[in-house]
Amino acid sequence: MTSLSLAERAREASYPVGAAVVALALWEVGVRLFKVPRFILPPPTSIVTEGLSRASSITPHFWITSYEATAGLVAAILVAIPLGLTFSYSSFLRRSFYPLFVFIDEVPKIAFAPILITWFGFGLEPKMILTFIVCFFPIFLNSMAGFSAIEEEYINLGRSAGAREWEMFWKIRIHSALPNVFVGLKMAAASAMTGAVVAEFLAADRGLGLFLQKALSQLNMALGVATIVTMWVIGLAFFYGMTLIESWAIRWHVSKRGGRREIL
Amino acid sequence: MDQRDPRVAGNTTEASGRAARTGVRWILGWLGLPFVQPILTFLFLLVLWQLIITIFAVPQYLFPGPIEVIQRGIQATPKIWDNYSTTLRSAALGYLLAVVVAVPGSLIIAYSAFAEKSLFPGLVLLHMTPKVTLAPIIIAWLGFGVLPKVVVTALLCFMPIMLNGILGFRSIDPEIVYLSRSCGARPWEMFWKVRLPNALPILFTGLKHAASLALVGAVIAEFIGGNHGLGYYLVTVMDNMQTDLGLAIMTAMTTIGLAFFFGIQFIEELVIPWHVSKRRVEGR
Repeated sequence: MTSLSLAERAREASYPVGAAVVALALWEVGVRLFKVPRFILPPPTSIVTEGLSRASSITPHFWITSYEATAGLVAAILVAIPLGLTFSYSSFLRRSFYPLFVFIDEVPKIAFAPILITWFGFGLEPKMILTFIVCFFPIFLNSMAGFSAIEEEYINLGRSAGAREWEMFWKIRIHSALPNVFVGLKMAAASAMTGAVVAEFLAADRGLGLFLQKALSQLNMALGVATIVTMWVIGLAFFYGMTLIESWAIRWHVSKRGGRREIL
Repeated sequence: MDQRDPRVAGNTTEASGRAARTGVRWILGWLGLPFVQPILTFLFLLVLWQLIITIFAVPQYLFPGPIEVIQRGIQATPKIWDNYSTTLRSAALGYLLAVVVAVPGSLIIAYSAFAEKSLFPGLVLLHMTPKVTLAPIIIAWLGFGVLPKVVVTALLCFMPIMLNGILGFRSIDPEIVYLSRSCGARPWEMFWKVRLPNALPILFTGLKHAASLALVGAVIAEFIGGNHGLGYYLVTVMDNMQTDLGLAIMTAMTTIGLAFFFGIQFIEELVIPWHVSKRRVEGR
């Protein structure tokens, strides 16, 4: 990426920030001007004040939902990457199962939620498992593609340079697979919250999904929107956290890549 | 897809003593169906699943075998179909709504440097947020009818179409623009003959991504505030611990998802055959 000076960056950033400020101001003024009832659409200021005043009751649910999403995502990473690696080594496994996995990937994963809740109850397990299912497929499919698509020339080069088997693995296979693996990891990180929250919507004794529904059933729309903002913050933290890890783990690749080319 | 691995096709280094396997491969190749092996795997897994259920006498409400699922599915076909059409309609309407709003919207943003600078970063940020969290609020606003499902579906489908549309309409080689200008192309010719064809491949990436989200949106909205539709039906069925029927309903849902995806892919092949055929040669 071309390095921009600080002033240029500030100028670039002023556009989206300005747009956000204008949008919020229009919202605030419009709601007050047309006297929209609070239980339909509260102005942003009252969402902020309501959210802050109830922060202590949101926080425990915040941790619960973050925990569910993290556990599901981490489990998916731990299972999907080794499995993708295994599949990349065996053409038999790939030809037998790969089309099947692609097909199963088309199953709406969130539809497992009611079944998981029947099996595992109202606790945290069904949420973690649903997050796991949602996160598994992008990681697995992308890491398999990454581990499989290694240029023959690198392998030949490594062989002729006398690399041992583990060196071939660490220095060539992992290295050239990581960009693809991270595509999957970022997709999974972006959808981890979806898994946890959808399961919470259906049946939960704790968590932000439950808190949101409670707030809405009391017609406290300001608290509801504040809860949604909290969920979005977690979701964005997941995605940008993963992007950060990526830019550290494969900086040689990230720096080469153009800025805005990738949209999930 | 990585089916072009040279080690798979011409595995000459393998010992010649594996005549039997080669024979099987020859038959599969003769059938000319790349799907034979995955279908065999699928059937094998079904049989394995049924055997495990039968041998270990797993209670049916906990985990039914495939035979039970198929039986219950056939039994309940009228009811499933009734809910199927509701979900299909919500998903289709929501998807159409997203397309109708997002494609012109992306065009406007791509044509205005100011709008792009101000809105694009925010749109990317919004794309990364879990938008399903809005479903309860949409339902609180719009009630239990078809409309909230359509809106939730549209919300989920909107961003991929919008962002890919912006990228598509924007990413054009300046040289092509200069060339067509110096050939005296009028603005509308520029749009129809240069910008639009150039944008379509990327736009279709977004349309396909959104197609697989449409069903998800409709089903989640039906989970939360439904009185009809496959999502609602699935929740009520699972409340009664009818896992066999639940799995049958999920299978029905999957056919909607697949129909959407392959439908859009079919349209893509009709609209931009020049691109699809090229991609195939390059091996995607």
